[in-house]
This record gives sequence, C-alpha cells and structure tokens, in this order.
Amino acid sequence: MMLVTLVWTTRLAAIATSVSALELLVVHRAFCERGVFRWSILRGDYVRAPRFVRTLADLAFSTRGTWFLVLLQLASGLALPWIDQVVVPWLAVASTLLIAIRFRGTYNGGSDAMLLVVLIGLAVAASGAPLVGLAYVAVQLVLSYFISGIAKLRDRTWREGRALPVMVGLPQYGVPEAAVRLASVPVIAKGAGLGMLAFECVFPIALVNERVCIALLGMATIFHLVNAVVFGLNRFLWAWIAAFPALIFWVQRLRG
Amino acid sequence: MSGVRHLAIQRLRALLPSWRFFARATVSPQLLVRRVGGEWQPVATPRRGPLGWLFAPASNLALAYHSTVEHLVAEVDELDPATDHDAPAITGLVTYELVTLVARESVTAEGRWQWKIIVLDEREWTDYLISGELEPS
Repeated sequence: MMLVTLVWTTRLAAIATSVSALELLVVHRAFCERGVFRWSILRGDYVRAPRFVRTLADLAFSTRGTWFLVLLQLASGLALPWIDQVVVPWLAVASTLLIAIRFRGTYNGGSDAMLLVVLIGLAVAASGAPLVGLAYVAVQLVLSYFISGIAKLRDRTWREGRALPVMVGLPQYGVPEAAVRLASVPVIAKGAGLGMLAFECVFPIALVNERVCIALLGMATIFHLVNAVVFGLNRFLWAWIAAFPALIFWVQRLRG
Repeated sequence: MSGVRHLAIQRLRALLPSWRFFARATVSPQLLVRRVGGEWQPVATPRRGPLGWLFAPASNLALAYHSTVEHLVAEVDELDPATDHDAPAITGLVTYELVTLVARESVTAEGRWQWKIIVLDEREWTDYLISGELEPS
C-alpha cells in the first residue's frame, strides 16, 4: 500500500511541479530585465542582507539564474516518476523553494506552499523515512482545510453566508459572468458559502475511517475543480490533489 | 538585524504556510491607470481560455501582480498616515517600483501617465495612493 501511495503522490506531484514550471516559462518575460519582476529591482530587498547572501541571491535570482531554476524545476518535476534517485525530489524542493523566494515569498500563494509540502514529503520518503514523509503531507493537508475554515469563522460575512458574492466579484480573479450571476442568487450564495465553510471546518473527521476520508476527498476534488474553473486557481487543484494519497494511506494505516 | 530577520521570514513563507485562505471576505485594493488628463481605467484581467482550469500562465501572473498591489498597501499601512504620496519612504519602496511596472504594462496611450490604488472604504471607493506623473516608456 505504501508503494502505491508513493507512486501516485509522485505522479501527481510531477504534474503539479511541471505545470508550475511551464507556466513560468510561458510568462518568462516577467522575470527578465524587461518584465515586472526584474532582478535589478527585486535585489533592492537585499541591500541590508549580509554580503554573502547578496552574492548568492545575485547568482541564483538574476535572469540567467532564474531561467536555470525554472528549467531545473521542470526537469526535476518531469523526472520524479521516472528516476528513482533521492536527489530528484530534493532538487524539486530546492528549485521550487528558491523560485518562491525569488518572487518575494511566493509566486502563487498557497499553491506554492502545498506543492512544497508534497515535495518535502516525497524527499523525506525517498531519504529513508516514508512514514514520516507521508505523515507530514497528510497532517498539512488536514490543517490546510481546518485552519482555513476556522479562520473564516471569525468573519461575520462568512458566518452569515454573504461571502461568496464578494469573492466572485473580485476583479483579479476574472470570474465568468455566469458564475457571478449564479452567486447573486441569495439562496445559492448562502448555501454554497455555508457549505464550503462547514466542509473546511469538519474536514478532520476524514481521520475517522477510510470511507469518510474518501467521501471528503471527493468533495475536496469538486471544491478545487470549481475553484479552478471559477477563480482560475488551477495550481491549487494540482498541488492539493497530489497530497490526497498520503491522507488515504495514513487513515487506512490508523483505522485499518 | 530585525529587518534581515523579517526579510528571511517573508521570503521563506512558502515553507511556513498559514493556510488562512480568504479569511476575510473583503474587497481588495484595485490598481488604475490613466494618461494624464484622461479617464482612470482599471488594469485589465486576462481572459482565461477553455483550458484555463488546467493551465493558466497569464492569469496566474496577473494574480502575482495583484498580490504586489496588496503588498504595497500593507507596507504603506505600516507608515505614518501623514506621509506624502511622493515621499521617499513610499516611492523608495521596492514594491512601489514593482507596482509602477505592473501599471506600465496597462498603459497603451502615448504621453505622460499615472497610476493610483483605490480601496473600498465603508461603501465607497477612495483614493489610497496616487503616483506622480510618469514619463512614457
């Protein structure tokens, strides 16, 4: 069972890592000297850092260094399912982390964080501690939903089921008109908003048994698919799905 | 030294996820541009293609641009509210330069131009930060 879990986690992580790298390659102008995230400006963040940090940052985060990192991320991502060497997942971790640092912490918010969680889990597993690696991924997956739900509970707009029309109205997500219209129907907006809140808050019950776990992960898949279609959060879909096998494995192990 | 530590924590935040997505349902700041004397226009959001739910490089870049705008608002919020918009404490920020570059990508007309960030205050959009007049690229 552990082998199957690792195989599926590796395959899904390979897709998530490759999509991240390919997307950056498509918009490579953004990190070149004619783009917004040009290193000649970003390096201003490091003026107070020690000299060796500045030297390393210049080396790794210049246009040429960033090309290297993105290509390394793509190569290591593609190699994950095919080359069974411990260095491969660690290279994927290193390139993904350095790209996030290069873009001032993250390029795509939480999806970078979850991708790193999965890659670190795989790297730890490949380094001889598969149970620890998969446990790390499973725990972070449960926390990602639970903390997100609890954090929303503090906001009255979420508690009263009025949050969804606000979210779909945010212009930066370019939500399709049909979804905006749907969210403007109060009963749908309230039902979907409260349903999502409830799903996130109760997610830890996935640990009860395998059946509950599979059911909740099915809902989670629909949740991420909808987010990808409506909000364009495609990277979240790949990164989170890559974490699912680890949770299924640990629930089976704990309850089986 | 605390500045360096703060920088390190900021840069390593992908390793220390907070998992607090959309914790507050609020309207986020918006970036607008105009040719001097012209109408303010919001920066455009790229349209996603039919496979945008699988692969969306332009949309994710636009989200990274928007995060930069939010980042600038967070940084300016930490300054004295009386700070002038053209004070070096603001215009010298790396994030300010990045937002200028983000805005420049949306400027199509010739001539001097400006950008501004607006925020929703209660129920009304108000100007939060307005750049000086900028030369065409």
